[in-house]
Amino acid sequence: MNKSIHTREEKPLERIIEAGRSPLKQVWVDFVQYKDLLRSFVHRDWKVRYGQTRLGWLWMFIQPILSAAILSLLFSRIGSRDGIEIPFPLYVISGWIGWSFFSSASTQSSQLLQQYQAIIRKVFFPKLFLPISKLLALLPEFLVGLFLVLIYTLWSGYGSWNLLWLLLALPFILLSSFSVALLSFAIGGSYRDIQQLLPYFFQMLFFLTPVAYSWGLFGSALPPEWQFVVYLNPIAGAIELFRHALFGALFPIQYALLSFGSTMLLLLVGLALFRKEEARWMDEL
Amino acid sequence: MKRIEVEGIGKRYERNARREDLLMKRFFSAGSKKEEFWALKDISFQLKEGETLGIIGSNGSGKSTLLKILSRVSKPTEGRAKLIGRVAPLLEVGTGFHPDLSGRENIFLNGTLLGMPRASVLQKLDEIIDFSGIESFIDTPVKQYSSGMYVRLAFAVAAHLDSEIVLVDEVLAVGDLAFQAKCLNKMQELSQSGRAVLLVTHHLESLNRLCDSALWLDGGRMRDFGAADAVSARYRAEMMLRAKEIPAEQRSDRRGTGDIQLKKLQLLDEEGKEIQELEVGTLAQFALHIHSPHLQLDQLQNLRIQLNLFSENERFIGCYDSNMDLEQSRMPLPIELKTDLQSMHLIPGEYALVARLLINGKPADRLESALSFRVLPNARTSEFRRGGMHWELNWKKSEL
Repeated sequence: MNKSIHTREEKPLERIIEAGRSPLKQVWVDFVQYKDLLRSFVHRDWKVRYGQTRLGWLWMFIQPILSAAILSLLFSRIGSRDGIEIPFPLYVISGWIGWSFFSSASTQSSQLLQQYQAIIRKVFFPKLFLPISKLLALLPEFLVGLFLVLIYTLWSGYGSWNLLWLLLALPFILLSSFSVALLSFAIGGSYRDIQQLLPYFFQMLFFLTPVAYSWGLFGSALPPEWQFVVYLNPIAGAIELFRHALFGALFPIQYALLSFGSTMLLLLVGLALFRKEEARWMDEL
Repeated sequence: MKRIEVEGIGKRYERNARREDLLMKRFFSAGSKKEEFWALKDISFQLKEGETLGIIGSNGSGKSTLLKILSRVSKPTEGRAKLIGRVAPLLEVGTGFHPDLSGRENIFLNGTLLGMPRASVLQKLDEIIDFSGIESFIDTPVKQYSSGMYVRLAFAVAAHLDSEIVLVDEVLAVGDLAFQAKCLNKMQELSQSGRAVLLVTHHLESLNRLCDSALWLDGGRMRDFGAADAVSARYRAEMMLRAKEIPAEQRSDRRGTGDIQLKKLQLLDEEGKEIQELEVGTLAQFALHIHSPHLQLDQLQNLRIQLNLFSENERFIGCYDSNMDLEQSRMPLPIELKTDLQSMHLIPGEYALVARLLINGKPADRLESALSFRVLPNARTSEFRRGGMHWELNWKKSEL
């Protein structure tokens, strides 16, 4: 017979169940208790995506290589533009990996609530783990892409101490992706219409993000005093900072701060909205 | 030491307040009035370690809502509950299993979903696999499992959680008899090892066997709270009474179009006398009165009578259906109908009938517990408890 639970020395876990949102302290306690669930969710995500395929998890490596290959093929004929001396394919791919992480995380997060509703109806777990695990599940693809870009960059003769900027640029990409993913998780969970709309929204956003064109080109289309608007887009500054780390100064770095500001704002809005919608999901799912 | 303290918990739902997925609907329905109802109201009780509390009540009495609140799937509207210790919910088994994952992978997914650290799942892995008894399939995707195997694995995970509080919902009704017995033993072991166990059940037998005390919920309110055997006896008595005391025609808890209604349903013995008990294998007949309460109809065609049979623990046993002859005949209303004298083909136990009258295939009247009766053992049968079919077959010697 198991007597160990009587002799446990640590103070037993105490939970209060009341109306209203859980206090933040409770949320934290749950995070700690359920932390290993993140790993299970990531594993489940991969299994769903690659489970039925022959090549399985190899796709995680093949996909970024494929998109890199397609992009360089597409842009190899086009040389440098607007005074950028970087090989254009490299320029595009370096923007593409951040963008594709950002947009996949955001569009896929909008469907999470629907995918997990059978579980949510039956068991309690921290719902915030759903968008977090989605980000983690997409991370390997991003890292493979990053690896390819770094090799390409060094091979093309770039890279200097400037690469230290990556220490800021990479967390920035993650954070801006998370802020928008969280927002689309909270909204997409409650309004399915948004799920239909999101792909179009991201298609539009793609053209407003400096992925396949340079800041200079876009900047020249706008009067100087309006150029900052482009960097209200959280991922735009993150991508430019990333390029800054690889190739050195290409764009006014202070604009990255603007993107960071809007990232933080979206994060706060996302968290607040999530807390509000979560309470509704409990009763209405 | 107290493990669960519930004080004045209440839960209000808004009827028709299912998620409004369409933006349009949400905008336009902003001003519309919603009907509110309390699924739970003024629920208070305490549970100490080593105790097992059973919760009984008919469908819709608030049992699952209470369990949802205690397992934090849902929030109460008012009141407060305190849980001291880790909680292991054995709710619907297999929740969170993913069909493409193997049994072993699902153990990890399920264990962590119930709040267990990965390390302790790993530590108990052998014990869990051993308990489930499906060792040889543990690396097969669970989509290839039979439903029995699925349930075994799920129960095994949940039963091996490190916890001080266990919440159980109906898991006992699944799996084969041997595995059910194993589950019962495991539950007994859990409460003897000092855990506080809360068990929601329809099954009065397991209530009496496993629980110290019982809480009877009726329409979201606490109807009775006390020693398990006393509460379950009162519960059983009331359930039988509901069917017997209130004449069918006075009951309002019915569904269907209402064009015709069941006025009376009786079980008669060979002499035509009304009975509530009969021995296995004796002959009896059903008698039934149908009328049209608002006199919409004075005659009737295409009638079908279905008597759905449930055992004492509300498990569906089968259906006594009417044949085509009835559907083809034209009848005046009101009318009394009788079946032939025949065996009920049931093993000993308590049974209740849900009566359904259909006209042209559409439900005109549906009445729960329209009739309840008991089948008694005879010299040749033993005392079964769960309810089920009993058929005596004719065997003839065949010439070789």
